[in-house]
Amino acid sequence: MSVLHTKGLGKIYSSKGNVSYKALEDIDLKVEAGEFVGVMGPSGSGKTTLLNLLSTIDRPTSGELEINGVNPARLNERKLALFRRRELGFVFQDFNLLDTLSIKENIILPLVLEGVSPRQIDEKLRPIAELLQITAILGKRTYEVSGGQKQRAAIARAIIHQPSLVLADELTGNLDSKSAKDVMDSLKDMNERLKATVLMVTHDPFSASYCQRIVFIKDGKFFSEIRRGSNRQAFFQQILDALSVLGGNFDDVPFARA
Amino acid sequence: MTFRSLALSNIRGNWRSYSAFFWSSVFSVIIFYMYAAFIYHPDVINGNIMQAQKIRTGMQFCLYLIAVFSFLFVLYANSAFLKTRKQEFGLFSLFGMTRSQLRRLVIYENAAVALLSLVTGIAIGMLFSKLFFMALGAILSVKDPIPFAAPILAIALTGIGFFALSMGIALLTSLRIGKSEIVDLLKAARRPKGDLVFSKWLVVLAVLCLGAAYGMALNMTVNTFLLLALPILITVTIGTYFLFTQLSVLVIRFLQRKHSVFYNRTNMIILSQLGYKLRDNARILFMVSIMSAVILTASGTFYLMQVGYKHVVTDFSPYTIAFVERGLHAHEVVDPAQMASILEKNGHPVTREDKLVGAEITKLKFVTEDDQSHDYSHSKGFVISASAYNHNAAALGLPAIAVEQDTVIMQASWMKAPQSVQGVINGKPVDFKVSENIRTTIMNMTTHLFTIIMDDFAYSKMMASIPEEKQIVAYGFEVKDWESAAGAVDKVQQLVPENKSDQTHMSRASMYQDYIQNGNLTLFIGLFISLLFFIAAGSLIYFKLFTELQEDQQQFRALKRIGMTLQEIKRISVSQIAIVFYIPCVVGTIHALVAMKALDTLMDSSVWLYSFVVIGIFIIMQTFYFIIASVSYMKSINRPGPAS
Repeated sequence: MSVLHTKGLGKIYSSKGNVSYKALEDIDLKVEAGEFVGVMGPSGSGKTTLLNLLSTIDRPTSGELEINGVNPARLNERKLALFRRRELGFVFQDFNLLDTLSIKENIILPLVLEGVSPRQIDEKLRPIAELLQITAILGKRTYEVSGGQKQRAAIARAIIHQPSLVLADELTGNLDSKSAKDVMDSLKDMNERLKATVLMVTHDPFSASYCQRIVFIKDGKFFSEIRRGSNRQAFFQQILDALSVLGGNFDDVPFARA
Repeated sequence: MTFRSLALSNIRGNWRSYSAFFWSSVFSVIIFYMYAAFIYHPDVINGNIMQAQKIRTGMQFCLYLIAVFSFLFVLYANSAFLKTRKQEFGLFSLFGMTRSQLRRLVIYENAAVALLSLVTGIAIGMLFSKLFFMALGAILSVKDPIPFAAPILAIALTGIGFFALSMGIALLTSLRIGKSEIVDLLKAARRPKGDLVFSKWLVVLAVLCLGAAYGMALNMTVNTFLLLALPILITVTIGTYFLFTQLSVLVIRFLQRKHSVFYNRTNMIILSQLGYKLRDNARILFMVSIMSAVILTASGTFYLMQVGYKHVVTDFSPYTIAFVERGLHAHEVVDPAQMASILEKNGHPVTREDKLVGAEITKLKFVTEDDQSHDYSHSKGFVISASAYNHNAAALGLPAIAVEQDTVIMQASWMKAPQSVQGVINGKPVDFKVSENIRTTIMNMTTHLFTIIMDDFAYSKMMASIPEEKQIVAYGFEVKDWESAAGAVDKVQQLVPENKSDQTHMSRASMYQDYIQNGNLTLFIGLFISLLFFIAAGSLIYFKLFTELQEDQQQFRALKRIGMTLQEIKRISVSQIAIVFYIPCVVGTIHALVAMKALDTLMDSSVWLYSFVVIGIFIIMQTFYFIIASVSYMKSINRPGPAS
């Protein structure tokens, strides 16, 4: 069963001066339930545009997008927000945790917004927190914990309401290598143990090596796709090879975005 | 790009945060200018407007008050505003802007805003000054309308004064910037919020203070008023301060612990953010609450005093026009027919007339309990019968009295009753035993300081020996709409021959009118000052709201991404804004209501309706402000920010 399905997805930005810019063109993408897919591409390749379209915070100018059998383009603004809340989970580069809330409150936010009873919330929180090893910091505030812990809390938030698809955007971009490894291990755990479907946009080959499949895009178009065998080290090498073929600039770390 | 154009574009860029500051300055300028325009109005200076002389000093005092107030307000707004721009300054310093250049930038910016608000303020002030003069004219009962004028002196005073004030403050605040490290400046916005903490003891103190204040206020009597006024003021202020800084945190924490409330949809975000909003704004909310309480209480007290004065004046002088004639049929003081026609012509026809016939007692001597004799021979008394008293008292709605045989009742409320009264009536010495001293007055006081009431039998026996031309008659007239009859009564007074004027008492209407006029004027001036306070209070909250906008914007954008609907965001922000706007309003109202209740018991008359009208107006105005604030806030929140 496919969770995500796009057909001929495209996005053209046009400004007043009649100058239009094709950010994305003719993307066909299919993500099956339980898959862990990475999207890679050099700067300006349209990664962020694609993610914005998949996040339903931007609308495509051409093509079809279907998430869990629903075409978000047909939903009005309110329904779209509810759709995001129920069907999607987000992990951002800059965490986007509310600093007025504790870690626990940040994690359970999607459930609270849905009006789930406090007892059920606790029942859902416990296993996930344990799996992500953040039980000890649940009562802490966002500024009291490390970046890796923040990102794991963000993963918990993205997953606690069992969305059809988790979208991750450069989630290790703000982390040191040790934390990055922890976070990627956690995400992989979520994917393997909780059967979460994950689509991750990244430019970091190391993070990408955790994926089962990587889709490369360049200049807004589909470029190539590689699948992982059993060995992550070998896959890492494969990614590096693919990137060298792809060319372009990869050493830019996009700045923290809101 | 020159340095000055950088300053100007900074203002343009920060306009939304600057606008609250700008409009509040404009408002201060408007009020200041209008007062100054009146004080330096050519007609006022030349003395063409008689009544204006009386209030000029009052207005001048207001002018100082406004100046002091503007100073504090601008100072506060400025430093709060600069705090929010730390990051920007950090960036400028990072690019190599020197400290003195940074200061110059701030001063340029301030100068531009000050000039802009001055020009706008004076222009609007001129536009509305005619209206202001008209209102003042109406209150002062000036016959010819006060003409429009834009006195150069007023413009100069406003312009120079306000500009100097702004520049002084700019200089003061600019000295404070550039003292911290660039790193700290850059990080200022990202500083974590810290924990919401409160002290148990301070919460107890808040509750104790408020409880004590309310308890004292509600149990206050006329005697304890002076003693308790200051402690009440102090405890209320302390209590309110800790109410906002401590008790609010306690309540929020309590609600956060109640999972059925806190884990209920948007409540979690509303409450958690509200906690910080309340904590960060505690001082402003406290000031606004106290201000609201003062405004509401003052206007309520004022109204009470006006009502109270009316009672006093009618109790003391039961008739609008009263005079005394010597001789039963004499009309040497005023001719009643002539008087009636004058009053009729002026629209205040006589509605009731009463007369009291009696005898005059002179060479008064009072003997007190300890057998001491007090000489009152310089004043005279009026002796009447109990039935005459009761007849008039019934007409005035006062209780009847009964005089025991061989005694008299005295009416001299201001002194302790003597045991007996000695004196001379119609050449014969008399000695009355006094049984009682009553407070109620049935006739305005003219030539006779004391009224002595005899029982009917003794009275008629005494009067039989007094010829009619030696008898005294006191006339009292009540007219229609006496409250505004001062002019008509004045014409009646002119009928009275010069040497008889001490036999009349017709000043009630004019006294009342003067009082009301002064009162209205005070109210009017007070109203303007309250309005200034009010606008400033609202601006402070508005201002605070927008200084946190950037942070909020970021949060809401994140929340929107993870699927929060626009309605939910709206609900969150509007309920937070509502709480921040209405909490001081509610606290102020509660304070004022307690104060009014206390005053009610003190002054023995009820003004609830009036209080509720004032509070209603206050709430409506606050609502107006709230709507403006939430609409523009929502607009800014929804504005797409930089690339996400």
